[in-house]
Amino acid sequence: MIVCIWFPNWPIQRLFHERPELRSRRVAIFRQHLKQQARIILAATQASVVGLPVAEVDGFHLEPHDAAADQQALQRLAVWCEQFSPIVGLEGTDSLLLDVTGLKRWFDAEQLRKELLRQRWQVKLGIGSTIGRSWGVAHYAEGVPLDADSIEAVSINALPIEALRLSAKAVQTLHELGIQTLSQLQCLPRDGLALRFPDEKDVPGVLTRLDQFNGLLSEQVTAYHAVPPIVVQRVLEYPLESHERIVFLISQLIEQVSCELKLRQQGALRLQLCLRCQADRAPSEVRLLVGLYQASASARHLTELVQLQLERQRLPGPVIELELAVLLIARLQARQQELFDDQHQRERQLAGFVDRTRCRVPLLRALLVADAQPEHAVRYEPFEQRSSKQRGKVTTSRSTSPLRPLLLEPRPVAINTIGLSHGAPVQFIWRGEQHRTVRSWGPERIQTGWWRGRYIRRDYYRVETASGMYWLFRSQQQWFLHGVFD
Amino acid sequence: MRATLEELREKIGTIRPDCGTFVTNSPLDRLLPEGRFRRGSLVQWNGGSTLALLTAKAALRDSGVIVIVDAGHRFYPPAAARLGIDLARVVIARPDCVDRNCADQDWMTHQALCCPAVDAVLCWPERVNSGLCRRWQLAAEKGGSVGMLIGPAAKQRGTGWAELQFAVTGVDDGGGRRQRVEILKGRTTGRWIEINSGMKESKEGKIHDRLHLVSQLADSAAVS
Repeated sequence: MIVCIWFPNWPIQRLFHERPELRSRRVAIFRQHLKQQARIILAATQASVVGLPVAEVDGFHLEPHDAAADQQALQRLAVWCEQFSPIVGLEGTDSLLLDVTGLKRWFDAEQLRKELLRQRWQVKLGIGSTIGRSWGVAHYAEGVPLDADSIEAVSINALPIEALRLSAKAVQTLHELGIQTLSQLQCLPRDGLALRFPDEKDVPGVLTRLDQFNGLLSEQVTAYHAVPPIVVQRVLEYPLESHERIVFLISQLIEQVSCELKLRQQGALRLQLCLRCQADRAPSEVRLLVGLYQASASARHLTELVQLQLERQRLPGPVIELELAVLLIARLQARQQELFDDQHQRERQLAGFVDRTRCRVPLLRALLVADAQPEHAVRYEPFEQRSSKQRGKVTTSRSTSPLRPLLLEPRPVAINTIGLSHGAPVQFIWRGEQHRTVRSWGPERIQTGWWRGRYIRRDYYRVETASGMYWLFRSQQQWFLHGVFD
Repeated sequence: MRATLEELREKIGTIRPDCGTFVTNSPLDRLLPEGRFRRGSLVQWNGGSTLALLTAKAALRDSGVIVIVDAGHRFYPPAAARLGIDLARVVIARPDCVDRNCADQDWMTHQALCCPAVDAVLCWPERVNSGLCRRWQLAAEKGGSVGMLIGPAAKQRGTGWAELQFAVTGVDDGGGRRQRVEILKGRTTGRWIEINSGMKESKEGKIHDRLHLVSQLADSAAVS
């Protein structure tokens, strides 16, 4: 006996579950196809907007489709469902399958539904003797009682052909032929179905699906097993103070982690080393977090990074326990070595450089923002974070922007000025030196709206002196130096 | 004397690792002895951050990056983008300099120069002593990158291990603002050029024709 749990509108449900504040809003999910404009694929309340370009939708809170997050959330639910069945599998992108064969005495579908509802999941359950039947009932049968005996009695012939998990192309063809329900489909000759809708690569044909539905063709639930986390630890018999020995133990732990990663053909993206120390009064913990720019399973590289962190850390006492955990993993990139092309090698070298240095000095990537106020015309993100490169109204290159100094003071510096000529000061004093204006350009007024908080209204001048060119502005009768055209 | 110097230079050149060269395709190239910059070397700039950045841009190869070591938090990326630099290929490092202790900045510059994936490093150090400069120069030779050490505009000749030193000053004789770029250190010491804002040459010349024998022989390879 198989139980199918269907989560309608799964991406939106998952989003609501992670961000409950969105439940009261009109939410739509869009997807950006390559070289095409973003379109709505799912909406929480109003289905009429589905398919529209994002630019034409108004009054909705828009979120990009995150298939990976949806999959991970479904996997977490599969693990949770193991309390109801030892074999839980994933079906498609929004359903779970539970094999409850032989569990009739203990399995209670109503309790499962109540538990899921208590966690605020909207679900539809279907029970059947085969995967196909349970899936079809969950998705297309309305008001069926959750009783295994009564479900088998339900006339499944009235279900639409979509209940067979067919491809969209097959469904369309069958509709064109006037086939709407399973009873109509079952009347067709089997030979004709096999010829007209054969099995294709990864896409079973109509006859295969029909036989799976009726139990003529065996189909098993592929159980999902969560990958166990990689955690290694060492409890010491005696507290250890020697730095060299601590490093030696850490390198041994990293060796173990590296072996496990290599077996899985994966690399670490984030590691956490926890050192439990014996302090004066009570044991205390020191946690070192190591992030990587590119997934790596190299013990030497990982040891170097952990060592760099450890060098800057002061331990509160001798170490009594060490624990190393891999918090984030990713598939290792295997590439055939090329004789002349050194591009991939340079990428690897850059990743090594970023990993080594960012634990001591933050490395940033600048993104331009369309904002008139110079301080807000750029925002920074960690260099290793590559995902948001194309997100929002930001860009990394612009050649038609207004002239700006290469060196901008972190905060405008108030300066003393003497006299005014064409709006700009005749002389000004900066860093104890007197600068006489030779030529000036301006003003360029930069003004922000009241809704931005503090009101900004500045008249900028480019001022040339014998020593260089400066960017000054006047605001509320006070002059400031903001940058140097060096 | 000149012939001896040339001979010594050639011998020194064979000891040095060959990291390649690059041109900026600007009048700046004409100031240089061989008309091109050498990778794996340090260039000191007295002023002229913009020129240094444009030179760094010219040094960029496929999939390489420019590292900006910006301890003063003064580098303004929109101005760099306006110069045609792709900010996706710029790594900005912001080390902390507390009480004039710039150990992180020095370490960061060293690490960046060592990395073969970094084509150019820009840094505005408060002071550069000879030992530090020597370490950076060896790092640049190892990584094959160009180190641009930018200081305040002054016509002071550096004492470090930089292969080239430029002094960039503003010039105004009523005909519009120009920048005068003069070589303070290098085989073409004394040569200067005046360029306008569009990097177009307007004047060039040579101030003197002295032989800086000791400094010209004091090359990295000579003591290694």
